[in-house]
Amino acid sequence: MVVEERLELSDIQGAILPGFKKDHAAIISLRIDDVAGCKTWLRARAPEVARADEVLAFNRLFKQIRMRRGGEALGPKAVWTSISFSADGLSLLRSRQEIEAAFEDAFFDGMFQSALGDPPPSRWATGGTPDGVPHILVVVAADDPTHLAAAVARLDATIAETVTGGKPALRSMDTPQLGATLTGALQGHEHFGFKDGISQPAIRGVASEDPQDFVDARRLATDDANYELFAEPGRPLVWPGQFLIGYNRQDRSDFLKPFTPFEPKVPWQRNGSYLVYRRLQQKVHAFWRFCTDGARVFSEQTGREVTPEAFASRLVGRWPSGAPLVRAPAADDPDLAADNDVNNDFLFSDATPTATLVDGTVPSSGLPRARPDPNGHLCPFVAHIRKVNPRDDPTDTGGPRQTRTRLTLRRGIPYGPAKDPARLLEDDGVDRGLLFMSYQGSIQNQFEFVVKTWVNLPNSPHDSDPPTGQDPLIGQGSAPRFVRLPHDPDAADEKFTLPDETWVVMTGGGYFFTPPVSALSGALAE
Amino acid sequence: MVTLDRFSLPGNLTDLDEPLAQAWSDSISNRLDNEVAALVLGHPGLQPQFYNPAKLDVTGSPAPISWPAFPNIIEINFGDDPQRMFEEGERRDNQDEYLEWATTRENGKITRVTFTCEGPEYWDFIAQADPDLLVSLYGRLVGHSVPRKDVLTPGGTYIRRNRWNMQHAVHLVQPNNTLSAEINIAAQATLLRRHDGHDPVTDPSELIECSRFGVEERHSDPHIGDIVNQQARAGCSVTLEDPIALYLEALPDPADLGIRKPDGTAAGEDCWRLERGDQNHILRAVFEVPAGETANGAPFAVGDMTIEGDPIEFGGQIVKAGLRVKLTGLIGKSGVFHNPSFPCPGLPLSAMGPGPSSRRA
Repeated sequence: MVVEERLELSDIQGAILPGFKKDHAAIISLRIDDVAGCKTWLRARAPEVARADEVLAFNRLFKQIRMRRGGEALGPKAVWTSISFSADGLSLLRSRQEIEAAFEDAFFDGMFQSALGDPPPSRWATGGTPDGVPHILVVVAADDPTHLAAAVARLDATIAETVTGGKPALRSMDTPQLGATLTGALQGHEHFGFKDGISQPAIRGVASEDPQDFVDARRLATDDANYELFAEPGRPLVWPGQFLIGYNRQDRSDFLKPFTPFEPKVPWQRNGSYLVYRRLQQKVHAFWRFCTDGARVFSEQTGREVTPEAFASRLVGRWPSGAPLVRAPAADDPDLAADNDVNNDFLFSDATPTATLVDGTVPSSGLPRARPDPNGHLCPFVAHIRKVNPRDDPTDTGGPRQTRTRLTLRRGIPYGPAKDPARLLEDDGVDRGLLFMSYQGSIQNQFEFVVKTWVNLPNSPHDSDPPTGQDPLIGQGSAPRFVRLPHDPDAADEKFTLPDETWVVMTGGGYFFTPPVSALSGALAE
Repeated sequence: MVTLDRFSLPGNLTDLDEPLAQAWSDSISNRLDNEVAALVLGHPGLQPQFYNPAKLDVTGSPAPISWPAFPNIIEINFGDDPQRMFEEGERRDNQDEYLEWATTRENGKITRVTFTCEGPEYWDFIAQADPDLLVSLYGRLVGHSVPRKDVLTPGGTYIRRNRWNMQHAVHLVQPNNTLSAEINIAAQATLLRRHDGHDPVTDPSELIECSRFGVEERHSDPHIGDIVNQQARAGCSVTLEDPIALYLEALPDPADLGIRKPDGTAAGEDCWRLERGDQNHILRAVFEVPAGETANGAPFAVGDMTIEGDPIEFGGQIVKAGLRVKLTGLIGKSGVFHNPSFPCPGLPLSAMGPGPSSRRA
């Protein structure tokens, strides 16, 4: 029996855990011009920052009401705030020496120095130079856009009011970057049209003294063989140190065993987490033009009629609805996609065991089951979801146990208006995309590893000859990009060269640290 | 396809003339035969899926297997303290992913990093067959003549860990980094296993524990075993592609590794020099600043450059940034073999018996 740690939820920012899950967000980038003034501001803001225990209580209440009412309308609403810092920001508030010694190199050196294959930093809107990285990144999130606007205005006022010797202590680098979930048919989807955020790791840990008061609720029956491995069907349990500093991490050779925590080098690291923020512009027309051409070529070459949607789904690994290819290889299956107990319940290589839920039922047994796909015939090896999370596949760094140490908590939200579906292939010149945010215990071992290795290399994490290609959504680098898509187990895969210009363009961002709540009025404000 | 005439020298090298080249081929062929014999002897009822391509005519497709070259064990143990991790990584005995490197410094600053994937067996072979050639090859790789007594004992035994090898990374010396280990793992991993109600075992960690091919925390051995076993479970034949050896997968563009010159511009691909092998079979390579190159109007060395913003203080930083090692298997058609599974080694022979066929066969 695995004994899970109690997480210090009152000291953890709610943005990390359980995540804000709001339809509207604003990201505010600040530079510190006066340290003493900034500390005064920080002390005043500390009580406004959302704590994990509060957000968890809200999310539980929200879920309870929604279940009872059978819909989201007029549920409770909230506005949440998080505050994070770059290495330079922390260095100003503490000392450069302390930060360099306490934090990992990638964080200290910054994203603009990392070999992620990004466009030259000189082209980034923010974060491309040391002076261009925000010292402080504030994320405000709300259910209601008017509440968000009011909260941002209030925050702006506090910034304007913080003056030292007649000069402002803090400076907004730009107008707030707004984000909002898409609406209508695209609700819960990203701009290319695919359901997003289905697959998230669950964190091991309890919220109170009750050993069953799990932060991430368990959906599986206690006698299900996977009860100690998954919180919900297909949602893996991961030790908290993979996301929060100071807790047990995931062992690389045993799913159930904890690995020693990263020992905080300064006490205020505990309960904090590294935040990667990337503003990813999405060129929807370019993506769909490629998929339209690709589908035509694929159909001609293979003699199998493939729609652009089906072609695109093979690049993603799921259908636009979110139905995974290993459960719905031939056509989209909206019923399957709509069932949260089923839409993420699949392995790639091996047969997926049948889950039994807490109430003793088997989730939607009428829906197609996942088929083992060790050779990538149903879900191509190169598909985005299989590149970034190969699940049970053997990989170039081991297997599923090691893969579990690479997962991150993704907290992204789209920005910009949805594209008119009737004019999908036209370049409307509108800036839209994803405000990618992920939380992890190590930028180097999690986010950077996945991007530099699995995403950007054509033969990783799956070995095959010839290589199957880079991640078709987010793969970058100087090497020519391509994908190989299977169509017949006995024939060679079809190779498609990806254009030099990517359809996801990194336009700015940085590495940040989201400290414990106590540090906002304590160590960082002293 | 016909049987292989002979095994080439690692990396298609041309060090050896006849009859030594044939003798090397024979030695590889013998190693493969021995592996096949060991499989058959220890496992009644087995139709070996591993074979010697010089003896059996089997059509196979090449399947490269590659893995990150920075030692995973060192990363696990010291990853929280990068300085310590890279210090430990510089020790040859810690470089256990079939890539070793030697870092050359002048006044403490790195001037050159030399990388090798060459197995020690090839050098043992040369030492025994043609000691003069051994000494001359060392001279060529080190850049000046090497006293015979430095590499051979008075009795003529080759000294693997001689000072020139340790300083210039002539070939692998870490005890687990051998060609024999590569061949042995590939052969052993073709056995289907059953354990603890799992038949056949498919989980990579359980497989490693069960089949005992290598240390679980390494990137290399478990990965090789895992990929090979997956093919074996599908009923494929497996062998290694000629020339059998371990190779650096590529010499990545330094710009992709985040390596920058002192003036902030990206380092060029001319920092790499392929020393042994060919483009697809890289056995040994050197990373150094090309002679005469300047930045900000002054000459500079590897140690003056940065990698993702950090000064290059260890050869391992380059390795960790993106070097990978590979071997290439030859995989036959699926569904050909329907072998029984075998219990984990260590059980008495009487406990062994045929199990159900692989469900993937």
